[in-house]
Amino acid sequence: MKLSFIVFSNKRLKFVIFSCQFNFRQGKQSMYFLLYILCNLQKAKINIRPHVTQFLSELSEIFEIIIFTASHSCYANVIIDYLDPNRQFISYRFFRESCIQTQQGVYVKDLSIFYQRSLKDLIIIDNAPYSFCK
Amino acid sequence: MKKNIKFKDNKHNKNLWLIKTFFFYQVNIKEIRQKHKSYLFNKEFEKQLLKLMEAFYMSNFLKYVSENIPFVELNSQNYTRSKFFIHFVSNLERKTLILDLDETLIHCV
Repeated sequence: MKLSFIVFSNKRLKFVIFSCQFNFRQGKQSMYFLLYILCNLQKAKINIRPHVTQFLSELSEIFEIIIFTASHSCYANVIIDYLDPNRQFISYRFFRESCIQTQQGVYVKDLSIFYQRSLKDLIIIDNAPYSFCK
Repeated sequence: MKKNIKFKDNKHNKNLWLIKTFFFYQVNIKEIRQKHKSYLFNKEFEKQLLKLMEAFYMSNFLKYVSENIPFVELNSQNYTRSKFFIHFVSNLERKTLILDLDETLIHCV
């Protein structure tokens, strides 16, 4: 099954998503983006991890779930909305705007925004352990 | 505002549990293919290889847990469908789970 639609346009960021297409084949879930970034038209494809919905559903009964990504919100929101369409699993979303940009141009996730929570109460699942600071 | 930040501390911060994920399958299969170009891979062999690799990495994961190191490398593509993983984090007595998006819930191709 394929669905296509216009998703988002943000001229200030010069980051435009022209279309987004979902693809469900052989149990795999993929999304295709047509992006317009800084005057360049680019295609992007992502695969959804297997059984993510069930994963989020089960863990949301035990934890407060927060998504913290260094990606642009216009791109990430589309995916998160797809993963949690009824907004019942994910409590909060934080994007690039909540990161700190280093002198090397790397976006680091600033854990101090969780000042109301102790580190002892947090678990972080991420592919880049260097991307956090407090 | 750009800042100069040192990255080193979090990996060894005992208060913070950080679970690292990545897609090891594609990378390792490619590496193996490159090392053994003359070897003809077939799908059944690849399946068996992946099973072995997953068992190996999962045993490493358990070793990390048993040693109570707060930084865990979870080298499994399919951890989201792992009942073990859900059981494991459920028993950590933590309140908040912070999930990355790219390469954690999704994989950018």
